[in-house]
Amino acid sequence: MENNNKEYRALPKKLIYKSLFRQHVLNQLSFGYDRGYVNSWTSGALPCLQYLYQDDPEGFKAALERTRDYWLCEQTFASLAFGIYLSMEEQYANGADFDPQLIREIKSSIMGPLSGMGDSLLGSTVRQLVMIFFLGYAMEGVTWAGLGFVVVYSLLINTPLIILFCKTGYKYGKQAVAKLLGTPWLEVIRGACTMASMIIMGGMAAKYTTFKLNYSWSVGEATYFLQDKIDSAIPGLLALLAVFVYYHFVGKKVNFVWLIFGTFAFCILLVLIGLI
Amino acid sequence: MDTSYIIRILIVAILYGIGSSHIFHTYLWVWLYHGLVGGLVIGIVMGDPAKGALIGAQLNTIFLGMVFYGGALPADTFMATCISVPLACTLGLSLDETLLVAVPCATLGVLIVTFIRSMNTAIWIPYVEKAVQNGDVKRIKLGSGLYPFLAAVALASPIVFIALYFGPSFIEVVINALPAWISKSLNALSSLLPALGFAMYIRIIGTTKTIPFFILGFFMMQFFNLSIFGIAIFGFALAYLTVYMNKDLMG
Repeated sequence: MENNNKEYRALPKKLIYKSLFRQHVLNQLSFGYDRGYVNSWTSGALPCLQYLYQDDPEGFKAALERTRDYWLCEQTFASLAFGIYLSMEEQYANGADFDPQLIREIKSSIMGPLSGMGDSLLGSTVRQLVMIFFLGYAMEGVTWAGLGFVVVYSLLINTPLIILFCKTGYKYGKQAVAKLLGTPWLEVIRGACTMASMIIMGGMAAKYTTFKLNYSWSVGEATYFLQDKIDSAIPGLLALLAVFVYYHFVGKKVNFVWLIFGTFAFCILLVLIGLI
Repeated sequence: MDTSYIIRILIVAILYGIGSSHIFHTYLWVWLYHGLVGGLVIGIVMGDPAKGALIGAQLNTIFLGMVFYGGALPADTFMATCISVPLACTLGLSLDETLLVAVPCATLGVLIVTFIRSMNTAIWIPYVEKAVQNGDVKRIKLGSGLYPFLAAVALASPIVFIALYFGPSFIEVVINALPAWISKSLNALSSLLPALGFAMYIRIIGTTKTIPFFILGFFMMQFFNLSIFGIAIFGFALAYLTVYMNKDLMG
């Protein structure tokens, strides 16, 4: 490229945010088994690429081609990859000396770990926990509890993380990979989150699986309830058993639909026998 | 069936179309596909936010264990909300009757929507591919944004609209004809199903090492009768303890 005395064309902040926003809005709109969510990456990167290659149509086309690799990742953590990608494209467009294939390689290689971390740290843990917190109130009749979830999770947790990841990715470029993904703290935090959520889920299971038998018998003047007998020994035994029976079947890959109908049939049986 | 009802279910149907298109997934989908928020939204549309929120919360609890890895959808929780909340509001269904309607909707929804989605979304990948090869920026934008969005809404909304239009009369007949043993079974079913959600959750997240903590939390709740906040405090306290102890190990 003949731009020796050309100024370094850095991506303006506004444009980066525009691209990031666009990528999020379009994120899962198109899906293909061969390419994943690739369209959102291409269309999201568009404003930045147009800026970088404004007087280089050939470079622009080549950059567009580079966006077409398979992409499937949890959205929040994906912002890190997006920031890194923009940083590298910017460097390359300004004449940095590396093979542009490197951009594609780095993008594809961190896709997996980022997706795994995103789904397990956010989707399965943090999001579930915030949701459970407000779900408790909603179940007790606090109508606007859902709004609490929207504010606390989406606005106070998710959005700052997205912006932070993109900024960090952009700032450190390819060094971000080693910097963030290599720390041992990540594993410790992930372990702690898993543990907290298991305890809390256990508590929730006890609170919301309210299954009770309704069988009683009389000896002389006194009536005895089966459920009371069970409760005085091991409270919630039936609910816990239910969880592990399901656990077993889910492990055998039994379809969710069959499990529901199976439970229904089981309940009918119990009613007919007279246990409920 | 008066016009205000028709307008409301039209809005619900469109909301379903928008939600199922996955546009702005990070926010819209997270909100609408979890009964906690989705129920509230649909409840507002139907004029009874309290009922919607309550039903949504119940649905959310049943499907609590469902984790949507890589976009996979085991149950269409939003369809369940979109169908059951309006029906419950118009017919005055009890919570258990509502759940009877909702759960099949979630599973039927997946079948229908998966089919539509795979058809719709797969078209746009090659479309944008071609546009990229021609450097056609306009087509890239349209093919990635407006087109798949409109197509998704156009394909998914009618399903919900039709179900809600014919729904009330059909469901009313069914519910009134139910014998007592069915309603007892329904009661039992809705009290058991949350266990399924939790089982799915610990299947995915849990390992043999972490499952004892689930049992710990379970009995803590049984014996101490904590509030949600209470169990959360203990959960995080124990988690903090492990981090703290690990810190020493790491030097």
